Amino acid sequence: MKKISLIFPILLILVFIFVMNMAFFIRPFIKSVPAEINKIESNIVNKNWNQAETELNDLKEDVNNKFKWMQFSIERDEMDQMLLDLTTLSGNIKIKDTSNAINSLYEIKYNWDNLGK
Amino acid sequence: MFESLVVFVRGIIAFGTLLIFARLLGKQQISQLNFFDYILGITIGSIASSLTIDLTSSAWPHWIGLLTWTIAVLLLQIITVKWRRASKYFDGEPTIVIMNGKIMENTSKKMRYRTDDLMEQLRQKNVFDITQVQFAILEKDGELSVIKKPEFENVTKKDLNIQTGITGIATELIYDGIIIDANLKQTNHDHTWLFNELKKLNIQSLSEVFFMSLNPDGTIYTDLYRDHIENLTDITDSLKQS
Repeated sequence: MKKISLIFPILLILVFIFVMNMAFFIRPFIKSVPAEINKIESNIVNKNWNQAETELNDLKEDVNNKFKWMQFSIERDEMDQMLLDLTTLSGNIKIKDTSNAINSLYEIKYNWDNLGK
Repeated sequence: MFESLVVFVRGIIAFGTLLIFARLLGKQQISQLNFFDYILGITIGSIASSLTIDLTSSAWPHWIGLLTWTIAVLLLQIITVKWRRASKYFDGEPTIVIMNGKIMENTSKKMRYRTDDLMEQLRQKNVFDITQVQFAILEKDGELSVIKKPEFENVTKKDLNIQTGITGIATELIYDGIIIDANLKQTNHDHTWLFNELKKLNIQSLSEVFFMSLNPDGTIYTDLYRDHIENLTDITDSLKQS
């Protein structure tokens, strides 16, 4: 009984720490988002706008799915900024603006790398 | 972002953490609540509240803040328990405000303790005449301890040479219809004895008993779910309809 009363709070604290740092812990294992960003980049550079748009939609869906898990450990502003950048990128791809699209993409890349840090 | 869900999860984290940390800090926080402890409590509570609802920053820094304050309080507790001097420095000391029936004006002034406060606290101790007081000590938590002059002290049973019964703590045997086996064992009794006692009280089933305890003098206190009280006294202010 004494052991349980000691182990239970320690376990609970460990779970809390994991939930509060979930973004930090799981981000290195998420390979899909950086891979999608790289694909979009090469498509923009090669002017494959249709392909870039399809990849961007996949990226949006993927990021939204990941945010469902990461939202407990990251700032609301960080998430908002990333979603805003994705929207800006979407507009840039639509008007086929290479330089601004690359700018937005690098912002997304930076935000993703610093999520939950 | 599902804001409500995030607030809910962060609320659970803050609640659980506070519960664990409060247990870690122990009873000292409540029993000796001086001004500093009071501020500590408010600060820790405020950090926990930010952890729950401040979504503009992540939960982790707030949690670290909570941990830091808890560790600081814990360290302070350990230091004050280990070193008497540190305890006096951090917690202060009790101060005599009435000595041999005389008010210590200078000491009171130093502590910014008014005579009105003294009189009020004396009244709270059922002392309405200051001439009855031999000593009054202002404790660290602001409570006043009073020693009356011998001629004004209450007469005790010992003074009157009256024999007293056995005093001690009652042991709970049944709570909510369930036998507390550990307590039964502690009192060197078993289920057979307990059921015999219940039979003597005309109780057929355990489920009828809400509470049962064994008193130090060997008597048994029993409270049943059905109290069989005919006319309940109503102390509420509800208006009777005419």
